[in-house]
Amino acid sequence: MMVTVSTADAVPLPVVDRDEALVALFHEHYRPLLRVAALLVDERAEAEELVQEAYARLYQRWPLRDEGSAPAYLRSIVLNLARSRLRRRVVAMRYRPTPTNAPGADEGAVLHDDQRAVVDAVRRLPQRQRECVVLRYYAGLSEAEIASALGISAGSVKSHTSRAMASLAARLEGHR
Amino acid sequence: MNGDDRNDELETRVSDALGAYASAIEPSPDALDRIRDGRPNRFVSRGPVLAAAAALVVVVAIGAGVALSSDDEGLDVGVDPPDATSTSTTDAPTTTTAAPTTTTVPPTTVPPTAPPTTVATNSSIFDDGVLATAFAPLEGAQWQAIMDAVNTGFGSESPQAAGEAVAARTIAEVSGDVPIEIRVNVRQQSTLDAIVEITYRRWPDDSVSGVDQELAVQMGEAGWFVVSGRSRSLCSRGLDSAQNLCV
Repeated sequence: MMVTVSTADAVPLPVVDRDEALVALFHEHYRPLLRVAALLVDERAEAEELVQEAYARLYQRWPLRDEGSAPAYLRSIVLNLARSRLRRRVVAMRYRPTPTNAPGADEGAVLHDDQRAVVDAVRRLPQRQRECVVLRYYAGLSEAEIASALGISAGSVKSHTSRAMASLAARLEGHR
Repeated sequence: MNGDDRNDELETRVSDALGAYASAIEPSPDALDRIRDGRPNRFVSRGPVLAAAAALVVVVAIGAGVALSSDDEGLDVGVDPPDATSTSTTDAPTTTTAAPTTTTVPPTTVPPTAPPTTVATNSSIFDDGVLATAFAPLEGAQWQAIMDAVNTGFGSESPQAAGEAVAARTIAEVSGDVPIEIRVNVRQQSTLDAIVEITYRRWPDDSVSGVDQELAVQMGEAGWFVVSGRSRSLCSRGLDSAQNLCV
């Protein structure tokens, strides 16, 4: 299963009014961006918050010089916010143990044991590797698109992805 | 099954699992309204937390005579600083090796309502000009209270050890993407109070070049422990000053 949220060939929006543009962008991209964010930050509420923040920023800056770049702009904001949020989470030193009954981002998802093991293994990847894996194997972005979204080279994307998959293979060995 | 087949199978497993996981995530019904109204969820959920954090900082300041504010004001415990000690780690941040610290300071009385003294932030944190120049925070970077640091390192034998406990816990929570330079430094110390600063540098993340933490620690019956803390991010690309987030 792979969901394509690629914006490389996005058609320029035919709207100039920011409310219309917001609604159009919301209906087309909000859900996939929310799901990408949830895969990156684990907590559903936090994912929703940062995607809303990305849209709010876009809304405030509207009109863009190139309205067709809005989806890519949104995606970059979401990725940056997710990364910063995780950094802040570390810095905030949340030592409190997570309540065992706290709902996770996958609340309601019915996952097979193998799927849950894969998701847990992805969660344990270093952040950059995790971003590359999510963008490649969930969002279906190309290496070039991932490089652009993350602000790193295509070679780095390849390297992070390769290391991530090797790590996943090791962690999931024998688990099926 | 050859290597290519195994890779293909793993890619399919990952793709399927992530897809199944994400398929349960649906937008909240009021998401569009919140965006349009400029009030993402955070504006509702964080206000009371920030207010509580600010209130606690004030309480700590009054009760302990040493506290860290969440703005850009400096720190002062109202005593003469002793010789500071510092340790550095390189390439192995999970093992912050503490040089034994022996600091003898005569008992002092800390005025309970001593106002914080503004200090030159960079020069107070970075002893050498190179670091201060290379990692100077962007304009607008704000200190933010780190409430969860309270009581960390409880029972430590020294302020340095309490700071190292905080650093170790911080690094332990980082999964792989760790800073490769960490410094724990006791900046001011009296018999019962101390200010500890921790610097994390050279993160392999291109949006964050470093993080500063400052901790107020106190001597309790069981040893030293953290009573308050604050932190700020140093961003290599840009800073959203409204949220203190690297972009």
